[in-house]
Amino acid sequence: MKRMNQQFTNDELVVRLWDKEKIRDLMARHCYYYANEWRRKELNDLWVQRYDNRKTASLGNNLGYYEGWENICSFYVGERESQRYARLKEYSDALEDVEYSNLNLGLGQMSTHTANTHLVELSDDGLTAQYLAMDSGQVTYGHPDGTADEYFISGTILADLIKEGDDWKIWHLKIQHDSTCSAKPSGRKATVRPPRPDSDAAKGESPPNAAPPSRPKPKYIGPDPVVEEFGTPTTPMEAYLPKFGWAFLPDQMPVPYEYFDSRKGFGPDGQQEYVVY
Amino acid sequence: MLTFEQRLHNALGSQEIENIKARHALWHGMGYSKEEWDTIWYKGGDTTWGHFFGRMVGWEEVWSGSVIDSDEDQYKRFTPKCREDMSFSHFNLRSTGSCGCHNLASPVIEVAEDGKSARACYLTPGQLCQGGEFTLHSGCTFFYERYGSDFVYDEKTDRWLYFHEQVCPDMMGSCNDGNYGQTLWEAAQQGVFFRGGGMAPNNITEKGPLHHDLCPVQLPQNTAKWPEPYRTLDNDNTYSPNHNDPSK
Repeated sequence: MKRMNQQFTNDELVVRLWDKEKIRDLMARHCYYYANEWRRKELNDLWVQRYDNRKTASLGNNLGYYEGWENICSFYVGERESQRYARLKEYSDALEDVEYSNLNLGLGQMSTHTANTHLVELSDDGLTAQYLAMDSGQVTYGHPDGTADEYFISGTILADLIKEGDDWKIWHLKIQHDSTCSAKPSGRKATVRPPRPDSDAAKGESPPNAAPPSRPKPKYIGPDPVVEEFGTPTTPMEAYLPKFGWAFLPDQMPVPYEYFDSRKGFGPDGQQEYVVY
Repeated sequence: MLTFEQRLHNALGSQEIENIKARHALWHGMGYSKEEWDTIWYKGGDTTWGHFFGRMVGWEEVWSGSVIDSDEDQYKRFTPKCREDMSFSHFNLRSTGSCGCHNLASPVIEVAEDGKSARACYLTPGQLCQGGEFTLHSGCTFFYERYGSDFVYDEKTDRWLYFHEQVCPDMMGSCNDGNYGQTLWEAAQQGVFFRGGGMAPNNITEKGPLHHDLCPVQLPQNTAKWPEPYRTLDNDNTYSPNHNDPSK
């Protein structure tokens, strides 16, 4: 039986095996930190620590990139804190027993992003890795009157990871947001469809009406609150256009590679251009 | 007792299976059928792909149903978009507007003791969303399925390749409209049981049905049972009985 990855020694393969598991673990922790709103702690625990890596770190979304450590911190922690305080103010203004204090931060907002369907490739030199996952989650905004706006969200998470000592760290992270779907009933009724003309049911060869109920088509309902939280990136650009679906994703899917090249990474240098008429 | 090298081979294989499953799901989500089926599949006579409607057997049949039929649908759906908006024609039509992925969760993966095959079972909570110019909308689909997959190790190329797939659609409905459970219940009272997830392809060797949707009035079917530790791919350890010979 031939061994996989013949160019590596057994010891190297064991390290690579373990590194891939540590990378999956790291990105899973990112999801938990994100859901807990532990953003400052996340930057300290999970992101790059070395000065030269922090200089070239980036956080991207549909609207562009935050480049460099200070800009990432300013948006990811600072602006987020402001948004959370704004939501808290809505509560403290309306409800006497809610103090406008950092102890009550979190009121009016919750979100969960899960990383699934992940694809991980380690560079041959073992120093970097590329990661792609689907993001399936929810975002909910509550109001002091007891109502809430709930959404299912969908997108992709892309990351360049780099090894610092024995630890893997997030170096470039890009969120490509596809869809925010309201959980509120649209009021449209799903109907049971008749059998398709060429189906076994129409020919009487199987139980009738075997098609599941139809689903109403998606309907645009307004500006996306999730996208509004993306802020104003320091390097603004059309970093991701959901209009064209996953047009670039085939090229973004990680493949085996020798060493890191920023032109193929998930920072601004690797951004493909949407060239249209 | 496996040697250290054999265990290392199997552990690496298990990780590679996760990558292959992810690629398969992502390419499927973007409508890249040719890549989904050409790049990571074993092209043999015992290669199979099964769904609720039955099982396609042999590489040519699998290719015909999964690539040719699928591409025809994709281009029919998206060519009119180019007439409305020329900007779409700059991109591969198969992926524009596509971003609904059968996302993968809860994997159980076993690599055979002989290191020549692997088996995996996954669940998908299938949050299928549609891309578009405006990202906030009302209406997306949940589509729960289960997948049973067999893989073979090709010594010549040092690659793991897909060999069999059994898709088991369980339930599909709107995320924000209707009462899906109620609908299932009412239909079951009339003797109607749903089989969701698409039409049967034009050419199919083993006709089904191989699976029915979940329903409140019947026990879940264990069509694609999770794999247990096993020695070698055979009819007791396969998602495609009588099609376990990669040399065909």
